[in-house]
Amino acid sequence: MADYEDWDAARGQDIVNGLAGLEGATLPILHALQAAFGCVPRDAVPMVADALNMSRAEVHGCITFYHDFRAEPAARHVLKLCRAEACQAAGADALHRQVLDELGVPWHGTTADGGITVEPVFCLGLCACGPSAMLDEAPMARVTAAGLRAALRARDDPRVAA
Amino acid sequence: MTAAPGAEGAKLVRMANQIAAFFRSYPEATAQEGIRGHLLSFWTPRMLQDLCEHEADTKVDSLVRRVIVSLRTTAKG
Amino acid sequence: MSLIKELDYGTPIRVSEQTVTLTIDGQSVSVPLGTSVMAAALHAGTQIPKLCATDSLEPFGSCRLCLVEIEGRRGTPASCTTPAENGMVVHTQNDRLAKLRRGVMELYISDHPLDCLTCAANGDCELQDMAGAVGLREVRYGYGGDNHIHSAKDESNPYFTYDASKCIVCNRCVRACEEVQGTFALTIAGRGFESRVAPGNTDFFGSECVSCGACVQACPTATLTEKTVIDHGQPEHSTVTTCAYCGVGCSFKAEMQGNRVVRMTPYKHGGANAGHSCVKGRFAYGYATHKDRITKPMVRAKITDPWREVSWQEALEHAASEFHRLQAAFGVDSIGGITSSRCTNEEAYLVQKLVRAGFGNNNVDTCARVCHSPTGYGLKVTFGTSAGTQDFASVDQADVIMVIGANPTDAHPVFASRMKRRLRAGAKLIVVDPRHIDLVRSPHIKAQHHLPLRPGTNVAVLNAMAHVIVTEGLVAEDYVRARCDLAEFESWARFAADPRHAPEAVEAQTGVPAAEIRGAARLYATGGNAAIYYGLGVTEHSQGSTTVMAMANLAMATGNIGREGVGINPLRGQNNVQGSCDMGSFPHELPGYRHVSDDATREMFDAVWGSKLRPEPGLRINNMLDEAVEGRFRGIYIQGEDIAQSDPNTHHVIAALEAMECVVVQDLFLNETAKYAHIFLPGSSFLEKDGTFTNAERRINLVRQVMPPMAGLADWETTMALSNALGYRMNYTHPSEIMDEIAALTPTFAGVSFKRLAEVGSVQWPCNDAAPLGTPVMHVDRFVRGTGKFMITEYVATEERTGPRFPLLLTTGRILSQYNVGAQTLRTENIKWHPQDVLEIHPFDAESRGIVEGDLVMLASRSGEIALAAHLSERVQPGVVYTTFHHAKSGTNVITTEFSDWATNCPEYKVTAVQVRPTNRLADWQEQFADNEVALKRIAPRAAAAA
Repeated sequence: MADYEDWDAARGQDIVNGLAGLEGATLPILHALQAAFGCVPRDAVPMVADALNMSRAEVHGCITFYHDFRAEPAARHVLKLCRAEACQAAGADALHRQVLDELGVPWHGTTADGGITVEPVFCLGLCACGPSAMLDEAPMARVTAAGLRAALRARDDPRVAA
Repeated sequence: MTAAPGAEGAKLVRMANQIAAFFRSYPEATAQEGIRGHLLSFWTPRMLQDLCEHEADTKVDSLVRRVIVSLRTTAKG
Repeated sequence: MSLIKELDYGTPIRVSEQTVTLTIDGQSVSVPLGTSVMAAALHAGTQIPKLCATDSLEPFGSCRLCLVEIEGRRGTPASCTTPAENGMVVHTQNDRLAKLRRGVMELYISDHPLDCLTCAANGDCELQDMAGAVGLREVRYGYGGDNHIHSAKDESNPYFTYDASKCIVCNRCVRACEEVQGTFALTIAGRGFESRVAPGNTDFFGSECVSCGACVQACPTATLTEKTVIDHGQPEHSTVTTCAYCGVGCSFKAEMQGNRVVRMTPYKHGGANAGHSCVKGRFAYGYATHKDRITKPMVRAKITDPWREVSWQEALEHAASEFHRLQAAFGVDSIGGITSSRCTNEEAYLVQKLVRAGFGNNNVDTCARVCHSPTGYGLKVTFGTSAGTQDFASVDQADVIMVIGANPTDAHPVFASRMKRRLRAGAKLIVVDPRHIDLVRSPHIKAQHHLPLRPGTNVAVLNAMAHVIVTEGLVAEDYVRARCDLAEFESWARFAADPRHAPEAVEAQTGVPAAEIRGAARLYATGGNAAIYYGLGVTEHSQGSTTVMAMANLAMATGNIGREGVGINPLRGQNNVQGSCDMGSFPHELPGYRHVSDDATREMFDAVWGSKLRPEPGLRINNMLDEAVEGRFRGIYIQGEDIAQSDPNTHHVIAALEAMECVVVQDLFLNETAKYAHIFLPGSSFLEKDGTFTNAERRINLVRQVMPPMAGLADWETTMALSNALGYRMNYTHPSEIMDEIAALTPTFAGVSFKRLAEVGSVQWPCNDAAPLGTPVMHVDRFVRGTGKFMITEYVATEERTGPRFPLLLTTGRILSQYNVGAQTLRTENIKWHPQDVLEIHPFDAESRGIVEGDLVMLASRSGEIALAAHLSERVQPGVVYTTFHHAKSGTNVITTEFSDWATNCPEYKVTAVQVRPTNRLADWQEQFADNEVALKRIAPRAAAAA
């Protein structure tokens, strides 16, 4: 995973200014901020609003509309569990309860060791082989608690990662 | 309590000079008529009288002074 | 009396010359082109169920309750977003639609608390109404699923709560904030089930919200609710009346329980506001019943004595005998009166009548002296009428809007919202202001040109614009030839063309880049309908009247007078400052702006008043004060004005008041002036009397009594009683009789009566046989004075100059939440937005003085000094500092000077040379103020008073 920069107002302003001239600049700016800082920092919101002559509320509305924009950087790894209908039909709800319990986190939570952030997702396009999930960039089908445990262990194992 | 004697007179002179400054851009006759009309429209008789008493005051604008002369003539007439 | 219910058409009323005819539920109906099926149905008498639609907002189509069937079309389109078309056959009620609507309601109610009986909106809830309308009887989904019922309330706003548990996410509040108010402070955060209304990532109080109440008004549930409604319950009757704050003159429904105002709701049919409001008018009415109200007449021999409560009779007889004594001893001219721009037309009329006929002199003036007197003068000279040329709706047709010396988003917020709507629709904007006001750049608004001039150089900038227009061939020659005095035009054109007025020549003096002036002039002259809006940043200068005439010159030269979308529009400060001027409050003019020297007019008044009016002008306020200091002027009757706080050079004002022997103050509160008064007559608030106010667009609105006067008498009754005590008889039983007298004596008001106003809502003067419904736009075919008169407007710099001792320029203004001297707004929760006046200073000037944010600093001028907290801001340019004057304890006018407009003596509040330095103590004046708060406001205990 990427190493994110700590929030720096001048750096944030540079990013905003650099893209503010684009047509429909809001999303490119938000993406660029998140790429740099791992999230869209709260302090960046007024900068974006000012640069684009929008209200802070509007920028907030935009950020929160897209689940992928974060208020805090995620953990090293992000586990997305599909909660859409097909996966629910395949028993995802029970699986999710079990996984969240084992990790000791609520939805959107990060484990105590800072290792994993768990997020809901609504459809990964793998409806035929649910319950499905995505660990970082890797999709997973027919997920079980055991399978997930193994994948998570492997994820931090340098031999597997290599 | 009262202010220093003449303080009000000095104010009237300043007010009249300000009026003159506005009308100065007009030809002399128009300017004089403008100032005179303004004073008669907006100043009380006593204020006009007080101003007239300051005719010799060196602070009085020359345009105002000429208007004062005409005001005196009117008053007498 | 009953509760006024306004019909909601669901979508905006469209105006079109074309109509379309369709059939709705078997009934044929014709509506203007562009009307929605929903609104058309209401025209036909059928109310289609709806939740997300309301006629102040563009249709949104999200609630899916207003579905209809249209023959020949598939599905069930939303009637709010479907325009009516010729030949359409629409069905709004059948079993299929009923089932669909009930299904939608079930979904809403499955995530809504079932606490109707204890809900604040009970009886005034559209969700409840719709549940009834669709016949909801069960919710098949139950209530146990995921829901928002335990969401937290946001109670941070002092006036309303946001209870997210009751929100149906219809977006009406978000859209109202955008479309109606133009602030964009609300959004929908999240998506899907998580969608919630949010004022950004914060609470309401910490957000961009300006508390205008449009969201509360738009909310169909209890989600956004006035705290007063939560506390007291639903109102049982309502009365339409007029706001007593600024010169916009918004119409409100005062919604009542008995004599208690439960809430003020902007009235959709209000001519000035069309259903919108601001934080002051809608919420800040609590001052009217504040515990500080004085409700007993009081007298005292010396200002250091405690006040003694007395009967009305004793107070009035004492006042009359004092005025008689002073006139006997010091002459007829030794007393005078001040009318109030906060009181009604009828009350202002009576005060000036009392002075002219009762006192027998013309020593009457009004607070317009210190705000818009140059407007009256300048527009009368150039156009022939002492008033603005347009109605507010005119701005909807403007292509170029020039705002000079006005800050509408703070001082005239309801009109500003209308202006911003037009700007978002594409009109161009020029802002001439030393400060970076919100209009220069704020969400979705951006001025094409901001001319950040040095305070005091308005005339130089306007002359430079005139230079560009004349020398670049941009004069509307046909218009000028047809409408204006040509000889005056030609001498003006020669004056304007002089190279000394070129933008390049005045750049150093004004601080405005020449290219900006040229750009602004070209835009103003060639951009289509160009309208000028201005405020006290124009008038409160040594050259206030010259600036007004310079604007009039520009408008005439470019043909921008006499139709919709153009004009010269003063944004007047107080609710009735236009009216008080109309009513003859100036010492040189009788009602209707007719000079006292006009024999025929005087004779007409003498005949009705039984008076012998004097033909010479009387004293202006500043002249009264000067003569008081000199010992010639000894007594004054002041209705509803606080000259000790609002007039410039406080030291001088107080010296004058202290020099008088009989100061009679009639007011709601023991104000600053009352500290120096000998007789106090308790006033009545706008809720306690009938009358009329005239707003900035000359619109005469009815003010209606909703509660009895707390002191027993309305202000007009008090003036009448004082007059009778003086021996000059007045005998009116109702303010309508006073208006009848005004109409009989004043040609421009000839058609005005309370009856007419009640019938048509409001009229804009002139209102007479020629214009029975009033005159929205003036000077249409010809100027009132005949031809338009160009005036030569030489720039004469103020005598107030910066120098080594006072190197900075102070300019003053006000802010959204507060109103003028703060007597009203500081007695409401609005104080939370502005607990103190602060000094805005540019970071550059602050740094060079070792000042950091929040430091106490001493602000000193030639007149005096005061201490304020510093606020570092780039809204002001280097060399300029800015403050407000809302808190009496700040003493802002201790600093301002006695320099004034050459023509009207309107004080030069906007330019004072000052120095700023860090300090660790209050100014002496402020220390003294704190002492006087106690020493000069004591009221003797009632028992002692009786003894």
